[in-house]
Amino acid sequence: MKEKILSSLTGVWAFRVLILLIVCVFMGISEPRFLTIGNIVNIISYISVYGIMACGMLFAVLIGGLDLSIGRVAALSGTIACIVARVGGFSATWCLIGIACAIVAGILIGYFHGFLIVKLAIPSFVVTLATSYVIYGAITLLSGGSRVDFVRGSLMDTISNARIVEFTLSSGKPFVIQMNVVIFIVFAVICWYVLSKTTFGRRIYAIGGNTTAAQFVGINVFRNSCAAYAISSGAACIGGLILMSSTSYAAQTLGAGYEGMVLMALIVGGINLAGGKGTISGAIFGALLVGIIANICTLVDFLNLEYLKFFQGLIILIVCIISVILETRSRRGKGRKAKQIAEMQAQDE
Amino acid sequence: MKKKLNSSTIRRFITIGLVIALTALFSLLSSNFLSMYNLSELFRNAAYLGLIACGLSVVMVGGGIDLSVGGIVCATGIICVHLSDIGLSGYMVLILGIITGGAFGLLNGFIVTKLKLTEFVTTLASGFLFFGLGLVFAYRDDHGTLMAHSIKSNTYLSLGQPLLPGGFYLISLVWVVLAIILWVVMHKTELGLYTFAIGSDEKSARMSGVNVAKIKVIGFIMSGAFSGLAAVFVTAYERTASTSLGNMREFLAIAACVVGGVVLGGGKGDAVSAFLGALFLAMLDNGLRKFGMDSYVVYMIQGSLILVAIAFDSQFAKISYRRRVKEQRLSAQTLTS
Amino acid sequence: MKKVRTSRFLAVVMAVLMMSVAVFALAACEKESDVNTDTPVAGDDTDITMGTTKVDIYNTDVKLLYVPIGDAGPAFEMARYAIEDTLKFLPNVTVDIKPAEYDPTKQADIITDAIGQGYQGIFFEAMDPIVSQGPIEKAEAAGIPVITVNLNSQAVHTLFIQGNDYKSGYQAGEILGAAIDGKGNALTLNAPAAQAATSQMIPGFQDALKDNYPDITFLEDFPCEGWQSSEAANNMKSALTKYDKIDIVYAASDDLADGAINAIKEAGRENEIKVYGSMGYPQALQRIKDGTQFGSYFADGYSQFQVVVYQMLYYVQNGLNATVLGYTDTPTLDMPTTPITKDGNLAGSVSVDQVIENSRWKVVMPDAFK
Repeated sequence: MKEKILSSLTGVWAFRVLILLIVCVFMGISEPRFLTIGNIVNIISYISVYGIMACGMLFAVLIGGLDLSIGRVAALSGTIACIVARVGGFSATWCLIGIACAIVAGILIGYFHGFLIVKLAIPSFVVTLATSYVIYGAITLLSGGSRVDFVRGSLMDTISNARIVEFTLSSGKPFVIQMNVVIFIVFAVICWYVLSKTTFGRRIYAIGGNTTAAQFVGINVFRNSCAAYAISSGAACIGGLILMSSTSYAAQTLGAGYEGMVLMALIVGGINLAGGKGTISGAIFGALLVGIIANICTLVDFLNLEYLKFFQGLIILIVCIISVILETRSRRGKGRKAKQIAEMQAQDE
Repeated sequence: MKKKLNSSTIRRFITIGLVIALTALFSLLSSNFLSMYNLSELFRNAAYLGLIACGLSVVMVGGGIDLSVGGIVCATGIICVHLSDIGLSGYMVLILGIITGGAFGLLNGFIVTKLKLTEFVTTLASGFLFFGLGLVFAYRDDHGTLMAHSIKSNTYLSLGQPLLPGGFYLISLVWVVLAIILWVVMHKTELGLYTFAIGSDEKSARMSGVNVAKIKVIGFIMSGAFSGLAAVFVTAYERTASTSLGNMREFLAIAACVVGGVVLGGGKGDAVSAFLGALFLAMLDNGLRKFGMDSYVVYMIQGSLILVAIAFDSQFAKISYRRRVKEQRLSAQTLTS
Repeated sequence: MKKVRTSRFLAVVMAVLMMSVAVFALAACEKESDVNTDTPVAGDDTDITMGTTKVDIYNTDVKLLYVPIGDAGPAFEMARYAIEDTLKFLPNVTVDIKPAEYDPTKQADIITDAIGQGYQGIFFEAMDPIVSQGPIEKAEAAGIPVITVNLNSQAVHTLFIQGNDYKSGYQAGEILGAAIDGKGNALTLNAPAAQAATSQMIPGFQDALKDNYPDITFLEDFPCEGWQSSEAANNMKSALTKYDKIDIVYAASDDLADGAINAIKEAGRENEIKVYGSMGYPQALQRIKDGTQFGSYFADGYSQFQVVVYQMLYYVQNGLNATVLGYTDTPTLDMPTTPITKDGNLAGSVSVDQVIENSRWKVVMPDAFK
């Protein structure tokens, strides 16, 4: 028991909490407004799209793949939803049909990716890069190159902007939790459940850990991989719908460059890009850290927002380096302990 | 006994075939495609991508990946403009540009080999870092907003001027020559041999005494130096270094390598593969522009052609693998009988 | 032993690389040193000879090229609509549109590419004043007139038609300053960091405040990645937590203003902050009418691109361009930058109803006015 507590204290969770604590204390001293409840809600709202996409892409990464098309898929889902809903004049039913069409399209794209990657054995990196060109063309084709507006106050508006919780704080400032935050949390919980409590989740880890072994055990690698890529694209679709709703129109430029940020979030979250290792909590931690860095750059005077990319790169490198050092150390420690035990056993014998 | 072509030679022929097919297609469909002017512009464009891809191919053959090349181009370009403003001549800037790019590569190599981060993670993050560095060093006016800044040095600008009155730029020549040199280095020296060894099987390479860390660092330095070289030529041609320099080039360069036959994961391909891949992509871009097509058609054709080229490759790899297995089985049978 | 050999090889390889590059560079530089670097090189097979050809633009085919920054957004849509509308009565004129995908290098490549392809005129928004220099010089030397729209290039070319960025920013400063009686705090939402160099709105705004309203404090300028309103909203949210008192917000585009308005509404401070946008996009006009946005400025994209096409045809008809005309400086045509407010009662501004009626937005994007 004692050892368990000790190991958890030096483990990855402790590291994450430590980093967040350091950032919060540093920020709290230099900018007291950072720790206000309003600002924390702001950060969570900021990362809602990244967070959903990161949770989805985690599935693709866990089986040893990548999905670089999520930014374009997000733009596509918003466009499809708006175009379909426009047919029925943005009535509630047509909006729902539009949203359903968008998500179905996303899942189909995911299956297509899975087919190309697993059946034709093309690296996921190249497949998703090439399909993102095709998807960009498809969006332009669908929308005719123009942005698609939706009617304010329709169901499209509520995807991100509906106020779920709303009251006035003692300081007189309003406290609002919007739909996007709720969707993010619900989606994250579902992903966590699927990954850690279902057999599908186990299979994903197994495929990522060792594809050949998984095959021998009798896991249908093709079907499960396709499902993983479909979840990744589907999550990108949900993110895209939120993005579309908060932007108040759909256009082919929405979501551009999100894949890089999501990848960063996953990397910071300690997810192994070779597959098989990583958790939802890691993905969310990564997204949170990325969001906090952006927030810091807007809040603190001496940090210019123009240097955001620089700081993101720097902080992520540092966090990764520290976590790798910690990991090798703990592995060494474990190895030493195992050796000691082996020696003791040998002596006993 | 008839000598059989090995699979990488066949792969090379496939890429050459793709390039020739594209050339034939475009020159049939557009009268402008094979003009001297267009070819010189095509080769300038291809050289920009190709120089980056050639450097990158060293890292990729060694089993790594370098996503920071776009960032290196951006940061090096802006630093080079600053260097020429101090009063350095074009040649000095050229050499310092290569060194700067190499230094960025060294940083990547250091993090990968000493701090044990994976190549993907390191270079993704350092790519952000280098792009950010470009913004930090960019020229600004009194308001603190970015401003355009021309290169003043004549010798620097002349690097981006055509060599002959009809066209053909220095960058194209340098690209061709360096691709050949790099091919020789990869196939005829120990450095190349070790790189291939690491790319094919890192563990056994290490077991047989290859200094893996050193070879990897050299790969990253090469990749950075080539990107730096590309940055110098591009800034000289554009007469400035804008902060959007090198944007998305890393993905295009990787696509060029993969189309040309450098395998993600290492062990196969070389600078000539990267050369052909870059030529293919640049030709695609250039040729599709010759027609009054809608932009979405261009995007879709580009994406699909890259996919088709690579699907072709992977299918070919599968078939040749099967054939090899069959041959081995046959020879085993003859041995036993 | 092995170590030594590898490092020796490394040294030799690097030295060979460096030397070969340096030798080529030297050779090239020596060859080029007596050539004036400003002389551009023309294409081999351009079928237009300088200045001598007069073209019958109503009976022979005329091919023009438009290279917009991207192929999304209301400004591009209006431009495309204006061009198509103008061409309805010019059946033998075609305008090819090849978007530059937000990349200055790509834009320069497309223009360079077009020179050998029989285009008789090129017009575009120069994303980078210097990167566009080389291609423009080549095109002008080949006898092709080049018109830049809204964003100028450093190269001397045939015409620059602009809706003045700096001036519109300055006007915004004057109007917003007057609206809060010259006292308060100001904030700006700027173009993406990498493109801030090409947009002069925020400097204009800052200068207006400096010149006319010394009591207004300028708080901060936020660049917004990708011109996206979601980025603007995030920046505005941070600004709202950071600053207790904000009176005016000036955004470099109406999309950014939209994001700011959403953030302000969420924080419940819409009565205290006035948001002023730019470009006069239809959604913004509707917002000004509803009273959620304070103002914007109207850039008449329709007239602008109609002028561009006709002006281009004038040059083509008479075989003129900057080289033939011997320009040493690019002539500029300023389009009016008309500030819009709800009632049009502040210095020099017009009412939003007037703009909605007279702009073509109702035809181009009717959905925005529902």
